Amino acid sequence: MAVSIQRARRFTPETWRNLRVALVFLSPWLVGMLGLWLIPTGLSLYFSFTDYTGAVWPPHWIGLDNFRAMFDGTDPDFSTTLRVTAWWVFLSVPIGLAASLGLALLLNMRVRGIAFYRTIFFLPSLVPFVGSSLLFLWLLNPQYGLVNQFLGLLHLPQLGWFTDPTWAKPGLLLQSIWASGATIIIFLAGLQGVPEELVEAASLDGAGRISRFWHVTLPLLTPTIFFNLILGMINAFQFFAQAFVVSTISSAGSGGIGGSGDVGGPAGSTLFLSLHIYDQAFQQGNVGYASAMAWGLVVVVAAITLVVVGTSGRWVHYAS
Amino acid sequence: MPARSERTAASPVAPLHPQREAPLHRRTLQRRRARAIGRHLLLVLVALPFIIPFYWLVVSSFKTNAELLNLPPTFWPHPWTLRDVQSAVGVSGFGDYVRNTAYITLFNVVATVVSSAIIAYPFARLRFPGRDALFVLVLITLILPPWTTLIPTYYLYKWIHWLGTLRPVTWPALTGNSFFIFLLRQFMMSIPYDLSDAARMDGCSDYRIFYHIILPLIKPALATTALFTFLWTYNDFFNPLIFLNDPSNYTLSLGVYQFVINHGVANTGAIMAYSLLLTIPPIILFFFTQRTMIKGVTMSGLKF
Repeated sequence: MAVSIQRARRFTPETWRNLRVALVFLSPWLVGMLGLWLIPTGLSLYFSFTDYTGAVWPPHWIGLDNFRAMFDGTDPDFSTTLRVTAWWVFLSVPIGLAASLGLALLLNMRVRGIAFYRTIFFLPSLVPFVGSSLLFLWLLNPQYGLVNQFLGLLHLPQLGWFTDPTWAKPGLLLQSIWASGATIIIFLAGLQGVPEELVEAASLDGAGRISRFWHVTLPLLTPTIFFNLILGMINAFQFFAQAFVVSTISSAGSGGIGGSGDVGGPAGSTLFLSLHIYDQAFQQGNVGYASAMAWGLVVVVAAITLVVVGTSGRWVHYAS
Repeated sequence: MPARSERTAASPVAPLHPQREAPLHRRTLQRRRARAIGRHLLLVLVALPFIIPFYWLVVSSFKTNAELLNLPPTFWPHPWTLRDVQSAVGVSGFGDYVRNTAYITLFNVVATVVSSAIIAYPFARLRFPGRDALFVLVLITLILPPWTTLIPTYYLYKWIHWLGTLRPVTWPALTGNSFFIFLLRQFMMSIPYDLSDAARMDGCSDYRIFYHIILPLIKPALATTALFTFLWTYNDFFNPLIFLNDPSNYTLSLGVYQFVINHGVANTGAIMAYSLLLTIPPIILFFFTQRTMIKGVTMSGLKF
């Protein structure tokens, strides 16, 4: 704002001085901007129109072939990738948010020692990704895992989890809910911002618990839900470390966990877009194609974010 | 779930006094007590799936390899053994991993705090042409997924012979972190401008204003920056996986992954012990910095 005022006038000596000082302060950022953003972005755009393999320079220009290859069946894994990523973004994010909100409601109860419970729910989010992935590989081990033993105790079917294409993603979802302490805390903060008078007024008007939650608490919580939804979806599109660890480490062996598996396995069931990009760029040497997919990812993330932001006016209520 | 947690939404942060001044009917008191017990039971029940994995991580780290494969599993190791911890620490290169992780984490914390504060200053406190346009660039880099720049960055590092060194996961921190530039700018903007104007009137340069006036006033934000940079760098698996090719450069996270890939089978105890060791530093840090951490999460949606 200040800039436009300044711009209308002549540059005063003070403006020049400020610019000089600002450039000194900004110099490390300008270097990063050029070296880590502008040049790589340009190169990435260029790569996506070439068949660059990482070896021969200059790469060979192939026009839109990389983009075509995503959809014309040249890369049969791409449609798998889309399905897996869509499952994660549109199913696991809402489920995860609902679970976090439910837990936040529990942690918002008036109970002595509630801080202790809050700590318990928060701690898992501090476990480094690799550690929690290895732990869940062990907990969800088909043969020796605690979870399957528990299911057996209840006479429920024991599942293959990370060895079964159907149950690998739900396994990852369990792991991410276990580690969702930060989201729970954000919801909790949102719940504590709901004015008590409003809920009490509704209660006096004869609204039951469910109705109070549905008509008073939830609408007042929509800004928090919106915030978590946006962050959750952006992160879900880029979901990588956990899926990479649980798919490339096998838990099918008879000696517990260990040994290597396929990226995105079993049977492509965890081949998230990010894993596919990684595999193509750094393991298969299809750098050009991977760059094209990375741009696809950016475009989709931007589009979905815009859609969510665009429709937010209809369901997000900001206190006036 | 909402049906169960009655009146939850209304609970304020302030401490509650279930027994108010007015004398209460005995039955009301009994009902309250029953309700409190019910709530605790519910909380314990829901907390179990969150605490048991932790418990399992700990006991699995102290079981013999034979006992780990016992069916049904044992809930208390018999006997407790230190073999797993010893083999975790004895993983070849473990000392290197610790040193690399410590160096990378420390470098990133110091570099990110210093550079982000320096970069945030002109965005927050100086009027200069092009400021808003440049700040839009900060916001774009904040939102844009790192995937597009990642691949060319790898080749750039390769061309300048940085692969095989620790530089790709340390030096970029010197150019600031968009998120913290944004956060620190917000904090700096909340400092009264009269303060710096008065100093400037007295002939104080911007460098001194930054160092002697602004920095001391944004210490809490600097602490948040340091804390979250620590957690992010320490937890990071992605960047080391891509940029660290030489095993002598591996971090603890990458090291355990390679260990499992290479020698995993029948080493579950060692793997769990390693994971447990990996988890200890952030947990300890949490108990010392709880308030900063929780505030960072709720105020700015920082996650890890």
